[in-house]
Amino acid sequence: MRMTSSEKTQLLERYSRAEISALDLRRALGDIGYGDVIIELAQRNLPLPRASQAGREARIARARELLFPRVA
Amino acid sequence: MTNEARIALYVFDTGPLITLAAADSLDYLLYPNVTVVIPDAVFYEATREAGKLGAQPIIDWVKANHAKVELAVTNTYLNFEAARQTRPEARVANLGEQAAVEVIEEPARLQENEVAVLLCEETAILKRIQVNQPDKIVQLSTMDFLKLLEQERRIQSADAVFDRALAAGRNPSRAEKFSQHDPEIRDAVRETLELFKKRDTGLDR
Repeated sequence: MRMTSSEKTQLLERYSRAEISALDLRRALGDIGYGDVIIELAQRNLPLPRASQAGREARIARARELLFPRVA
Repeated sequence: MTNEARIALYVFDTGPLITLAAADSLDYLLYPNVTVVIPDAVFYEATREAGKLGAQPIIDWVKANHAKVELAVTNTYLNFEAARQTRPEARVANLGEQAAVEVIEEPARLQENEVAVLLCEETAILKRIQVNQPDKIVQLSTMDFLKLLEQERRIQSADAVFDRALAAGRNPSRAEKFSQHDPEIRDAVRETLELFKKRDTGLDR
């Protein structure tokens, strides 16, 4: 069944709010590429999802320590 | 595992590549000064189709930085290429994801003091990875990576990078331009992958 424009926008809004994954979105929209996702979001003035940083600080800190080690 | 660790940055799906390419910020991947590993099928998926935002910049950037970027050759992609010889319309679901998992599970990776920072938007992929020491893997989203660069004062604003990517997506002429040159992009993708395959097998010497 073909998706209506409204349904497509709702899906993109959910992705923009980080409620669904990029993969789920891309599959639902017919296996579109990530570049197309950016274009679709941009056309609707929706932001790229910014997942909550809460709970992720530790991994960011570890990656920072690995990627930019402090010289003793 | 800090000072002596050997670190590589693995770009595990197309999201980070395309977002950074659209924002004209692919060089940010080089800021940590570690090897950047891109599975061949992820590179292919990021650059294969008409209208792909960022396709040509990704090809140009990989070629220009071939000393710092490794396009990791996988059986997943080689088998896909072989299938396309007989059936050009052949498609494989989750091709990039399969190749990425294959790369990180290679026995030669993550040995001794090696640590992988995985850059990807799809966290589900991590559940598929089976390595002996999962603590050797740190997963970051594109925004995590940009926030990290912001904390390091290597970039001014992570949010501004996302805004630039969206601004590129709003420019239809840019996407149309890519679609007109799709055969050229396909050739460029093939050439780039061949170049890296030859380098890895020593055939270019």
